[in-house]
Amino acid sequence: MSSEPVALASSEEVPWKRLSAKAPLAALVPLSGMIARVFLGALLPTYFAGERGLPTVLWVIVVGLAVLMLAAGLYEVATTSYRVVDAQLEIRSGILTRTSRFIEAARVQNTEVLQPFVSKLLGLVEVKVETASGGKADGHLRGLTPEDAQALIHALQAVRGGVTVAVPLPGESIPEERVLSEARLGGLLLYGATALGLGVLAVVLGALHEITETFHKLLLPWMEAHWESLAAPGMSWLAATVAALAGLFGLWLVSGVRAVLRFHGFRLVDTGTHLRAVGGLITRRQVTVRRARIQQVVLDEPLMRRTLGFGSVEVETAGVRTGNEAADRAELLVPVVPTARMPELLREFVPELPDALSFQGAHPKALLRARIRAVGLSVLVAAPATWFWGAWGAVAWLLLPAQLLGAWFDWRFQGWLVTEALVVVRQGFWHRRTTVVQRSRIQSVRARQGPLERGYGIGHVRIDVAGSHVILPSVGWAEAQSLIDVLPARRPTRRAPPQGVQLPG
Amino acid sequence: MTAPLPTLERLPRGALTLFRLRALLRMGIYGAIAFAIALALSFAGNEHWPFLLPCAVVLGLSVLTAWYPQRAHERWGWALREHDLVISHGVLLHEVVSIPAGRIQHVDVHQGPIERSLGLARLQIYTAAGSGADGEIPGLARETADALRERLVRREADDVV
Repeated sequence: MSSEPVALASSEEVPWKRLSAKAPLAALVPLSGMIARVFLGALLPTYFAGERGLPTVLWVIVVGLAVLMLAAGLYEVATTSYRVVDAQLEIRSGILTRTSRFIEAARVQNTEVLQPFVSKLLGLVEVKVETASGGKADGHLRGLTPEDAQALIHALQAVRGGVTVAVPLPGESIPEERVLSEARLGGLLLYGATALGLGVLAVVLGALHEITETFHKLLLPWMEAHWESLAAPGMSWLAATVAALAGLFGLWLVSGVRAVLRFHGFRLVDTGTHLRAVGGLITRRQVTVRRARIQQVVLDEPLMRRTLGFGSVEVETAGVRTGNEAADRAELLVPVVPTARMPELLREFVPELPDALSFQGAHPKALLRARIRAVGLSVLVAAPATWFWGAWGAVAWLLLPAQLLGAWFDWRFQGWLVTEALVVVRQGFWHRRTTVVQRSRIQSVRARQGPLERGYGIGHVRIDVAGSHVILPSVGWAEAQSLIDVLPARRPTRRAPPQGVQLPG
Repeated sequence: MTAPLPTLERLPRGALTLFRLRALLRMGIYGAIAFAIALALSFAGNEHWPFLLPCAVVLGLSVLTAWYPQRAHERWGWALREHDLVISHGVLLHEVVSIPAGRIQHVDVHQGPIERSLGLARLQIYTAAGSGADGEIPGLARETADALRERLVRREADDVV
């Protein structure tokens, strides 16, 4: 493919390109993982139920289904071929039932080249081509040679009219490219330690469960043998403190390892028309985002990261990704950006960003609403806690002043700003997120007013861009209604010739 | 900064009938579910009190049916302007949506059995923003829905999202 001309050719002239012969082998592990996730719902209860799990017949059915699904997946990989023709990427698979998928090059939001561990051993890569159509990649080719992957991305960039740029293999670099950001090991460990998410919590809880199960027989006799010293006054506090510290250390460790696995050797480069990020320890990942496709940029600065002098930047295109956390949903994530370098890097993504951001604050009555919510939340937690645990549960009422203080901080430090080309929204004090949306990318704007807001005469505005959305801090209801007119950038609407269509009346 | 909303087109009178029929249907379904639960509870050994549940559900929904459709009908409105389509609706949660004309990807006209019998249609407007419809106007006269759809799709969409 690399030797094929990029110029448009008729569909008869362009030959089909097959995946590597080793592609099914490379796809075996990821496909098995995907199928295992499908059956996880059936397998997990069986695991915890022990001997009272699924009967043998059902096991045979489950395993049979899994093998069938794996065989179907491998058959699809083995029969997949592709070509770039008529400004489209055409992917074809199957022999008996043939499926063809056409992806218009102009609609491609971003491309991703992955090299998981098994693929690395086989000298292959995977290519994902994302459009704005759904929650997963529209084109996913497993088992290409790196040269073919490079040629494919090259061809897609060329036929959609962009300046042709050389796309290196994951890990390679081209001297004339400008490096925008790099991540070092220390920075990544700090990023991981300040990014404790649900995924990390799940891993740590799972590990704790396994450790407790495994060492139960060892720990119990030891505890019984040292019962007198363990039951000494003050030991329960000591044990609780040690357990809390060990838990926290475990969380940080897992989070740090996850960050290193995902971003090791991270490097963001500017190729002129595109931004390319490469990183990852076991699975090497290369994401290429066309500058013109950037929908919004988010600056993520939790208090801990601000104190340590850095933040993260998420770049989103219209490609829709799924994930529990915003960082997982972003197409491109720069994990560690020193605070001093942030304005400069942000301007690389959105050149129209003004030097000084003078935010307009949230409506004063929004504070009252936030306080009511804080009181409601505290009562919901503290009242049952007091009911069940008595005096110890009453400690939960300390949540009330903390929530009230938090509500004030969040209200005080949020703001929004509308410039000629951008909408900038800042939210949160403890977990500050500053979102920059291009007004020309706005898909729809909605002003909303709930019953409580109606009482205060305020409302909020939600801006939708392709693949994401942002909510402005509360404003007066009249202003919220006017913003739906103000925010979308006006473009001359091209109309088709009149067809004599008239609305009744 | 304050710019008043444009004068909104209101839904036809038939839409109110549609909203009322839907509310009655909803009341019937929830009432039947509540009755089934009450029946199950009475078979489980409870005496007559479980049948208070469907009575309470039907009573509550009757009040809602008498009040809500009229209010919802008053709140629904739309305006097609040079640069966007504005839709306003909502009784408890009031919402005003503006969908820029160039952003509309496609428009669906949907007719359920009740809508068909009343000569009405529901217009659903999709942009590239999400998986569902970004704007919806129920209870439009079929001709209005078709004409509005025609006007919306004839505005050429931007090439990129």
